Amino acid sequence: MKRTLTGLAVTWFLCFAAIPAVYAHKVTVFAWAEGDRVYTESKFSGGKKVKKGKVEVFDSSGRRLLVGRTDDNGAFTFKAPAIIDLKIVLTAGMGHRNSWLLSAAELGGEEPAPQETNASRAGLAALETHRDTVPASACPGLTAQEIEAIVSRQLEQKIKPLTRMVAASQEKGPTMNDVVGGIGYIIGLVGLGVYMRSRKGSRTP
Amino acid sequence: MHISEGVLSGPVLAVGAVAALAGTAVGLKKMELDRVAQAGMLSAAFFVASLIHVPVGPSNMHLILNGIVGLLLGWAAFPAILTALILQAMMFQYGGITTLGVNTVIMALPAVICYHLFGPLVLKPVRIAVPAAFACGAGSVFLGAVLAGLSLMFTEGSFLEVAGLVVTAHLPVMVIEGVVTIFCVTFLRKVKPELLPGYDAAVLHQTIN
Repeated sequence: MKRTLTGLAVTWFLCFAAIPAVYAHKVTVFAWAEGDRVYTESKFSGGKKVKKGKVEVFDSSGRRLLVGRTDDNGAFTFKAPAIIDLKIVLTAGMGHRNSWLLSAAELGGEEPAPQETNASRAGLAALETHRDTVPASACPGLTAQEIEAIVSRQLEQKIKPLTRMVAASQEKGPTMNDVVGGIGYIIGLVGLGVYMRSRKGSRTP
Repeated sequence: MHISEGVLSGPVLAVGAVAALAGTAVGLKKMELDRVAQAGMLSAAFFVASLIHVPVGPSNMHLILNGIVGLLLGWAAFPAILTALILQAMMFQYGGITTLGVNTVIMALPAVICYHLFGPLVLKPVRIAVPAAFACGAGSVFLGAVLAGLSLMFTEGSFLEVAGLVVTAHLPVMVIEGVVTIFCVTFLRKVKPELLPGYDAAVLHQTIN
Protein backbone atom coordinates (compact mmCIF):
# COMPACT_ATOMS: atom_id res chain seq x y z
CA MET A 1 0.00 0.00 0.00
CA LYS A 2 2.83 2.32 0.90
CA ARG A 3 4.49 1.70 -2.43
CA THR A 4 1.25 2.41 -4.25
CA LEU A 5 0.97 5.72 -2.46
CA THR A 6 4.55 6.60 -3.30
CA GLY A 7 3.90 5.71 -6.91
CA LEU A 8 0.81 7.87 -6.99
CA ALA A 9 2.64 10.74 -5.34
CA VAL A 10 5.39 10.53 -7.95
CA THR A 11 2.81 10.50 -10.74
CA TRP A 12 1.06 13.54 -9.34
CA PHE A 13 4.35 15.34 -8.97
CA LEU A 14 5.25 14.57 -12.59
CA CYS A 15 1.85 15.80 -13.75
CA PHE A 16 2.26 19.09 -11.96
CA ALA A 17 5.89 19.46 -13.01
CA ALA A 18 4.75 19.27 -16.61
CA ILE A 19 2.14 22.00 -16.27
CA PRO A 20 4.25 25.14 -16.84
CA ALA A 21 5.20 23.90 -20.30
CA VAL A 22 1.68 23.15 -21.45
CA TYR A 23 -0.14 24.21 -24.56
CA ALA A 24 -3.86 24.48 -24.37
CA HIS A 25 -5.62 22.19 -26.75
CA LYS A 26 -7.82 24.76 -28.42
CA VAL A 27 -7.56 27.40 -31.08
CA THR A 28 -7.98 31.12 -30.89
CA VAL A 29 -8.53 33.64 -33.64
CA PHE A 30 -7.90 37.34 -33.21
CA ALA A 31 -8.70 40.11 -35.68
CA TRP A 32 -7.99 43.79 -35.88
CA ALA A 33 -8.53 46.48 -38.51
CA GLU A 34 -6.07 48.84 -40.08
CA GLY A 35 -7.78 51.14 -42.49
CA ASP A 36 -10.18 49.03 -44.46
CA ARG A 37 -8.00 45.96 -44.23
CA VAL A 38 -8.73 43.34 -41.60
CA TYR A 39 -5.88 41.29 -40.21
CA THR A 40 -6.49 38.00 -38.48
CA GLU A 41 -4.14 35.85 -36.52
CA SER A 42 -4.92 32.25 -35.60
CA LYS A 43 -3.09 30.02 -33.22
CA PHE A 44 -3.39 27.01 -31.04
CA SER A 45 -2.94 28.65 -27.70
CA GLY A 46 0.57 28.23 -26.54
CA GLY A 47 1.63 30.05 -29.66
CA LYS A 48 1.61 27.37 -32.32
CA LYS A 49 0.32 28.97 -35.53
CA VAL A 50 -2.61 27.49 -37.37
CA LYS A 51 -1.40 26.63 -40.85
CA LYS A 52 -3.95 26.36 -43.65
CA GLY A 53 -6.85 26.85 -41.28
CA LYS A 54 -10.13 27.89 -42.87
CA VAL A 55 -11.26 31.44 -42.04
CA GLU A 56 -14.82 32.43 -42.82
CA VAL A 57 -16.29 35.88 -42.43
CA PHE A 58 -19.98 36.30 -41.69
CA ASP A 59 -22.16 39.37 -41.27
CA SER A 60 -24.48 39.75 -38.30
CA SER A 61 -27.31 37.93 -40.06
CA GLY A 62 -25.10 34.90 -40.64
CA ARG A 63 -24.52 35.44 -44.37
CA ARG A 64 -21.05 34.30 -45.43
CA LEU A 65 -19.18 37.20 -46.99
CA LEU A 66 -15.86 35.63 -47.81
CA VAL A 67 -13.63 32.68 -47.04
CA GLY A 68 -9.89 32.16 -46.99
CA ARG A 69 -7.06 30.12 -45.54
CA THR A 70 -4.36 31.12 -43.11
CA ASP A 71 -0.76 31.16 -44.30
CA ASP A 72 2.15 29.45 -42.54
CA ASN A 73 2.21 32.18 -39.90
CA GLY A 74 -1.44 31.72 -39.07
CA ALA A 75 -2.26 35.08 -40.66
CA PHE A 76 -5.06 35.89 -43.06
CA THR A 77 -5.76 39.38 -44.35
CA PHE A 78 -8.76 40.60 -46.26
CA LYS A 79 -10.38 43.81 -47.34
CA ALA A 80 -13.45 44.61 -45.29
CA PRO A 81 -16.42 44.14 -47.61
CA ALA A 82 -18.43 46.78 -45.74
CA ILE A 83 -18.43 48.69 -42.48
CA ILE A 84 -20.59 46.30 -40.52
CA ASP A 85 -20.13 43.93 -37.63
CA LEU A 86 -18.08 41.00 -38.83
CA LYS A 87 -17.95 37.56 -37.30
CA ILE A 88 -14.71 35.81 -38.13
CA VAL A 89 -14.84 32.05 -37.70
CA LEU A 90 -11.76 29.87 -37.73
CA THR A 91 -12.02 26.15 -38.39
CA ALA A 92 -8.68 24.46 -37.81
CA GLY A 93 -9.67 20.90 -38.64
CA MET A 94 -10.26 17.90 -36.41
CA GLY A 95 -13.07 19.67 -34.63
CA HIS A 96 -11.18 22.78 -33.59
CA ARG A 97 -13.05 26.00 -34.04
CA ASN A 98 -13.31 29.48 -32.58
CA SER A 99 -14.60 32.89 -33.58
CA TRP A 100 -13.94 36.58 -33.10
CA LEU A 101 -16.33 39.50 -33.40
CA LEU A 102 -15.02 42.63 -35.10
CA SER A 103 -17.43 45.47 -34.51
CA ALA A 104 -18.30 48.10 -37.09
CA ALA A 105 -16.88 50.70 -34.73
CA GLU A 106 -13.43 49.18 -35.12
CA LEU A 107 -13.76 49.29 -38.87
CA GLY A 108 -15.33 52.73 -38.99
CA GLY A 109 -13.54 55.93 -38.11
CA GLU A 110 -10.75 54.92 -40.44
CA GLU A 111 -10.28 56.12 -43.96
CA PRO A 112 -13.55 55.89 -45.85
CA ALA A 113 -14.24 52.33 -46.86
CA PRO A 114 -15.40 51.47 -50.37
CA GLN A 115 -19.06 51.13 -49.48
CA GLU A 116 -20.15 53.96 -47.27
CA THR A 117 -23.42 53.69 -45.45
CA ASN A 118 -25.65 56.71 -45.02
CA ALA A 119 -24.85 56.78 -41.35
CA SER A 120 -21.12 57.01 -41.87
CA ARG A 121 -21.64 59.70 -44.51
CA ALA A 122 -23.60 61.72 -42.00
CA GLY A 123 -20.81 61.19 -39.51
CA LEU A 124 -18.25 62.45 -41.99
CA ALA A 125 -20.38 65.51 -42.68
CA ALA A 126 -20.45 66.23 -38.97
CA LEU A 127 -16.68 65.92 -38.86
CA GLU A 128 -16.45 68.25 -41.82
CA THR A 129 -18.27 71.04 -39.98
CA HIS A 130 -16.15 70.37 -36.94
CA ARG A 131 -12.99 70.78 -38.99
CA ASP A 132 -13.85 74.37 -39.84
CA THR A 133 -13.57 75.25 -36.19
CA VAL A 134 -9.91 74.16 -36.05
CA PRO A 135 -7.96 77.38 -36.12
CA ALA A 136 -5.68 77.46 -39.13
CA SER A 137 -2.99 79.16 -37.05
CA ALA A 138 -2.68 76.14 -34.72
CA CYS A 139 -0.52 74.25 -37.18
CA PRO A 140 0.39 76.28 -40.19
CA GLY A 141 0.98 74.45 -43.44
CA LEU A 142 -1.18 71.47 -42.55
CA THR A 143 -4.84 71.03 -43.27
CA ALA A 144 -7.08 69.45 -40.69
CA GLN A 145 -7.40 66.36 -42.89
CA GLU A 146 -3.66 65.82 -42.97
CA ILE A 147 -3.42 66.14 -39.20
CA GLU A 148 -6.20 63.67 -38.82
CA ALA A 149 -4.50 61.19 -41.11
CA ILE A 150 -1.20 61.52 -39.24
CA VAL A 151 -2.83 61.15 -35.86
CA SER A 152 -4.81 58.11 -36.83
CA ARG A 153 -1.75 56.48 -38.40
CA GLN A 154 0.36 57.15 -35.32
CA LEU A 155 -2.40 55.98 -33.04
CA GLU A 156 -2.72 52.74 -34.93
CA GLN A 157 0.98 52.10 -34.55
CA LYS A 158 0.93 52.88 -30.86
CA ILE A 159 -2.11 50.73 -30.21
CA LYS A 160 -0.87 47.71 -32.16
CA PRO A 161 1.25 46.26 -29.32
CA LEU A 162 -1.70 46.75 -27.00
CA THR A 163 -4.10 44.90 -29.23
CA ARG A 164 -1.60 42.08 -29.47
CA MET A 165 -1.29 42.05 -25.71
CA VAL A 166 -5.04 41.77 -25.39
CA ALA A 167 -5.01 38.91 -27.87
CA ALA A 168 -2.25 37.17 -25.98
CA SER A 169 -4.02 37.53 -22.66
CA GLN A 170 -7.16 36.02 -24.17
CA GLU A 171 -5.45 32.71 -24.77
CA LYS A 172 -3.85 32.00 -21.43
CA GLY A 173 -3.64 28.28 -20.94
CA PRO A 174 -5.06 26.58 -17.91
CA THR A 175 -3.58 27.89 -14.69
CA MET A 176 -2.67 26.03 -11.55
CA ASN A 177 -5.89 27.36 -9.99
CA ASP A 178 -7.97 25.68 -12.67
CA VAL A 179 -6.19 22.38 -12.21
CA VAL A 180 -6.38 22.34 -8.43
CA GLY A 181 -9.98 23.55 -8.57
CA GLY A 182 -10.92 20.75 -10.95
CA ILE A 183 -9.31 18.11 -8.77
CA GLY A 184 -11.11 19.58 -5.79
CA TYR A 185 -14.41 19.13 -7.60
CA ILE A 186 -13.57 15.51 -8.32
CA ILE A 187 -12.68 14.82 -4.68
CA GLY A 188 -15.97 16.40 -3.66
CA LEU A 189 -17.88 14.25 -6.12
CA VAL A 190 -16.13 11.14 -4.83
CA GLY A 191 -17.19 12.07 -1.31
CA LEU A 192 -20.75 12.53 -2.50
CA GLY A 193 -20.67 9.25 -4.40
CA VAL A 194 -19.32 7.30 -1.44
CA TYR A 195 -21.92 8.88 0.84
CA MET A 196 -24.79 7.97 -1.48
CA ARG A 197 -23.52 4.45 -2.00
CA SER A 198 -22.94 3.83 1.69
CA ARG A 199 -26.45 5.06 2.52
CA LYS A 200 -27.87 2.68 -0.05
CA GLY A 201 -25.71 -0.12 1.34
CA SER A 202 -26.74 0.45 4.95
CA ARG A 203 -30.43 0.49 4.08
CA THR A 204 -30.33 -2.94 2.48
CA PRO A 205 -28.77 -5.26 5.07
CA MET B 1 -9.76 14.91 -29.40
CA HIS B 2 -12.04 17.50 -27.86
CA ILE B 3 -14.50 18.65 -30.49
CA SER B 4 -15.40 22.34 -30.15
CA GLU B 5 -18.82 23.95 -30.08
CA GLY B 6 -20.54 24.60 -33.37
CA VAL B 7 -18.63 22.06 -35.45
CA LEU B 8 -21.04 19.16 -35.28
CA SER B 9 -24.56 18.91 -36.63
CA GLY B 10 -27.60 18.66 -34.36
CA PRO B 11 -28.39 14.96 -34.87
CA VAL B 12 -24.78 13.98 -34.12
CA LEU B 13 -24.88 16.00 -30.90
CA ALA B 14 -28.18 14.40 -29.90
CA VAL B 15 -26.99 10.85 -30.59
CA GLY B 16 -23.79 11.56 -28.63
CA ALA B 17 -25.71 12.96 -25.67
CA VAL B 18 -28.09 10.00 -25.52
CA ALA B 19 -25.29 7.45 -25.83
CA ALA B 20 -23.21 9.23 -23.16
CA LEU B 21 -26.20 9.32 -20.79
CA ALA B 22 -26.87 5.63 -21.31
CA GLY B 23 -23.22 4.74 -20.78
CA THR B 24 -23.03 6.87 -17.65
CA ALA B 25 -26.16 5.27 -16.25
CA VAL B 26 -24.74 1.79 -16.80
CA GLY B 27 -21.41 2.86 -15.32
CA LEU B 28 -22.98 4.33 -12.20
CA LYS B 29 -25.16 1.28 -11.71
CA LYS B 30 -22.20 -1.07 -11.94
CA MET B 31 -19.97 0.99 -9.66
CA GLU B 32 -19.40 -0.68 -6.30
CA LEU B 33 -18.86 1.36 -3.16
CA ASP B 34 -15.17 0.53 -2.96
CA ARG B 35 -14.67 1.54 -6.58
CA VAL B 36 -15.97 5.10 -6.19
CA ALA B 37 -12.72 6.51 -4.88
CA GLN B 38 -10.79 4.74 -7.61
CA ALA B 39 -13.09 6.15 -10.26
CA GLY B 40 -12.52 9.62 -8.80
CA MET B 41 -8.77 9.17 -8.85
CA LEU B 42 -8.76 8.05 -12.46
CA SER B 43 -11.14 10.85 -13.36
CA ALA B 44 -8.63 13.28 -11.87
CA ALA B 45 -5.79 11.62 -13.78
CA PHE B 46 -7.76 11.91 -17.02
CA PHE B 47 -8.56 15.54 -16.21
CA VAL B 48 -4.88 16.40 -15.75
CA ALA B 49 -3.57 14.18 -18.57
CA SER B 50 -4.93 16.54 -21.18
CA LEU B 51 -2.42 19.12 -19.96
CA ILE B 52 0.53 16.95 -20.89
CA HIS B 53 1.26 17.75 -24.47
CA VAL B 54 3.06 15.93 -27.19
CA PRO B 55 4.14 18.34 -29.91
CA VAL B 56 3.57 16.62 -33.24
CA GLY B 57 4.31 18.34 -36.52
CA PRO B 58 1.97 21.24 -37.17
CA SER B 59 -0.39 20.56 -34.29
CA ASN B 60 0.07 19.32 -30.78
CA MET B 61 -1.68 16.47 -29.12
CA HIS B 62 -2.20 15.71 -25.49
CA LEU B 63 -2.34 12.48 -23.57
CA ILE B 64 -5.80 11.00 -23.18
CA LEU B 65 -5.25 7.98 -20.91
CA ASN B 66 -8.65 6.54 -21.75
CA GLY B 67 -7.05 3.09 -22.13
CA ILE B 68 -5.93 3.00 -18.50
CA VAL B 69 -9.19 4.51 -17.28
CA GLY B 70 -11.12 1.83 -19.17
CA LEU B 71 -8.87 -1.00 -18.08
CA LEU B 72 -9.22 -0.17 -14.39
CA LEU B 73 -12.84 0.98 -14.36
CA GLY B 74 -14.72 -0.87 -17.08
CA TRP B 75 -18.13 0.72 -17.56
CA ALA B 76 -17.41 3.21 -14.78
CA ALA B 77 -15.12 4.89 -17.33
CA PHE B 78 -18.23 6.66 -18.65
CA PRO B 79 -19.05 8.64 -15.48
CA ALA B 80 -15.34 9.19 -14.76
CA ILE B 81 -14.61 10.59 -18.22
CA LEU B 82 -17.84 12.60 -18.34
CA THR B 83 -16.93 14.26 -15.02
CA ALA B 84 -13.42 15.08 -16.21
CA LEU B 85 -14.74 16.44 -19.51
CA ILE B 86 -17.26 18.70 -17.77
CA LEU B 87 -14.44 20.12 -15.68
CA GLN B 88 -12.14 20.49 -18.68
CA ALA B 89 -14.87 22.34 -20.55
CA MET B 90 -15.48 24.64 -17.61
CA MET B 91 -11.92 25.24 -16.47
CA PHE B 92 -9.85 24.99 -19.64
CA GLN B 93 -12.48 25.73 -22.30
CA TYR B 94 -11.55 22.47 -24.03
CA GLY B 95 -14.36 21.11 -26.13
CA GLY B 96 -17.69 22.59 -25.16
CA ILE B 97 -20.88 22.04 -23.23
CA THR B 98 -23.02 21.05 -26.21
CA THR B 99 -20.38 18.60 -27.43
CA LEU B 100 -19.97 16.96 -24.01
CA GLY B 101 -22.00 13.92 -24.99
CA VAL B 102 -20.15 13.31 -28.23
CA ASN B 103 -16.76 13.85 -26.63
CA THR B 104 -17.63 11.48 -23.78
CA VAL B 105 -18.60 8.76 -26.23
CA ILE B 106 -15.48 9.36 -28.34
CA MET B 107 -13.23 8.73 -25.35
CA ALA B 108 -15.23 6.44 -23.06
CA LEU B 109 -16.66 3.95 -25.55
CA PRO B 110 -13.20 2.85 -26.76
CA ALA B 111 -12.19 2.57 -23.09
CA VAL B 112 -15.02 0.13 -22.45
CA ILE B 113 -14.35 -1.80 -25.66
CA CYS B 114 -10.67 -2.18 -24.79
CA TYR B 115 -11.59 -3.22 -21.27
CA HIS B 116 -13.57 -6.12 -22.66
CA LEU B 117 -10.97 -6.98 -25.31
CA PHE B 118 -7.78 -6.76 -23.27
CA GLY B 119 -8.92 -6.75 -19.65
CA PRO B 120 -8.86 -10.55 -19.33
CA LEU B 121 -5.30 -10.67 -20.67
CA VAL B 122 -3.37 -8.28 -18.41
CA LEU B 123 -2.88 -10.82 -15.61
CA LYS B 124 -1.68 -13.55 -17.95
CA PRO B 125 2.06 -14.27 -18.20
CA VAL B 126 4.19 -11.28 -19.17
CA ARG B 127 4.59 -12.20 -22.83
CA ILE B 128 0.82 -11.90 -23.25
CA ALA B 129 0.14 -9.17 -20.72
CA VAL B 130 2.65 -6.62 -22.04
CA PRO B 131 1.42 -6.65 -25.65
CA ALA B 132 -2.16 -6.63 -24.34
CA ALA B 133 -1.44 -3.56 -22.21
CA PHE B 134 0.13 -1.79 -25.18
CA ALA B 135 -2.78 -2.69 -27.41
CA CYS B 136 -5.21 -1.46 -24.76
CA GLY B 137 -3.53 1.96 -24.47
CA ALA B 138 -2.93 2.43 -28.18
CA GLY B 139 -6.17 0.81 -29.29
CA SER B 140 -8.39 3.04 -27.20
CA VAL B 141 -6.78 6.14 -28.71
CA PHE B 142 -7.13 4.64 -32.18
CA LEU B 143 -10.81 3.83 -31.69
CA GLY B 144 -11.33 7.30 -30.24
CA ALA B 145 -9.81 8.84 -33.36
CA VAL B 146 -12.06 6.70 -35.54
CA LEU B 147 -15.14 7.80 -33.57
CA ALA B 148 -14.04 11.44 -33.82
CA GLY B 149 -13.72 11.01 -37.59
CA LEU B 150 -17.14 9.39 -37.66
CA SER B 151 -18.79 12.30 -35.85
CA LEU B 152 -16.97 14.90 -37.94
CA MET B 153 -17.71 13.35 -41.31
CA PHE B 154 -21.19 14.87 -41.50
CA THR B 155 -19.76 18.38 -41.38
CA GLU B 156 -16.19 18.06 -42.58
CA GLY B 157 -16.37 15.83 -45.63
CA SER B 158 -15.62 12.19 -46.23
CA PHE B 159 -15.15 9.78 -43.34
CA LEU B 160 -11.93 8.22 -44.61
CA GLU B 161 -10.28 11.58 -45.09
CA VAL B 162 -11.16 12.98 -41.67
CA ALA B 163 -10.58 9.73 -39.78
CA GLY B 164 -7.26 9.24 -41.56
CA LEU B 165 -6.20 12.73 -40.55
CA VAL B 166 -7.19 12.26 -36.92
CA VAL B 167 -5.60 8.82 -36.70
CA THR B 168 -2.27 9.91 -38.22
CA ALA B 169 -2.19 12.96 -35.96
CA HIS B 170 -2.64 10.70 -32.95
CA LEU B 171 -0.09 8.03 -33.95
CA PRO B 172 2.59 9.36 -31.55
CA VAL B 173 0.01 9.62 -28.78
CA MET B 174 -1.00 6.01 -29.42
CA VAL B 175 2.58 4.83 -29.00
CA ILE B 176 3.09 6.90 -25.85
CA GLU B 177 -0.18 5.76 -24.32
CA GLY B 178 0.63 2.17 -25.17
CA VAL B 179 3.95 2.47 -23.33
CA VAL B 180 2.35 4.30 -20.40
CA THR B 181 -0.22 1.52 -20.13
CA ILE B 182 2.52 -1.12 -20.11
CA PHE B 183 4.25 0.67 -17.24
CA CYS B 184 0.99 1.04 -15.39
CA VAL B 185 0.04 -2.61 -15.79
CA THR B 186 3.47 -3.99 -14.83
CA PHE B 187 3.54 -1.68 -11.80
CA LEU B 188 0.07 -2.70 -10.67
CA ARG B 189 0.82 -6.41 -11.24
CA LYS B 190 3.62 -6.09 -8.73
CA VAL B 191 2.09 -3.90 -6.06
CA LYS B 192 -1.67 -4.11 -6.33
CA PRO B 193 -2.82 -6.78 -8.78
CA GLU B 194 -6.32 -6.79 -7.32
CA LEU B 195 -6.96 -3.47 -9.08
CA LEU B 196 -6.59 -5.11 -12.47
CA PRO B 197 -9.57 -6.81 -14.11
CA GLY B 198 -9.80 -10.58 -13.91
CA TYR B 199 -7.87 -10.80 -10.63
CA ASP B 200 -10.04 -13.46 -9.03
CA ALA B 201 -9.85 -15.74 -12.03
CA ALA B 202 -6.10 -15.25 -12.22
CA VAL B 203 -5.66 -16.19 -8.56
CA LEU B 204 -7.74 -19.27 -9.19
CA HIS B 205 -5.51 -20.42 -12.01
CA GLN B 206 -2.36 -19.09 -10.42
CA THR B 207 -1.13 -17.40 -13.54
CA ILE B 208 0.46 -14.48 -11.67
CA ASN B 209 4.18 -14.86 -11.40
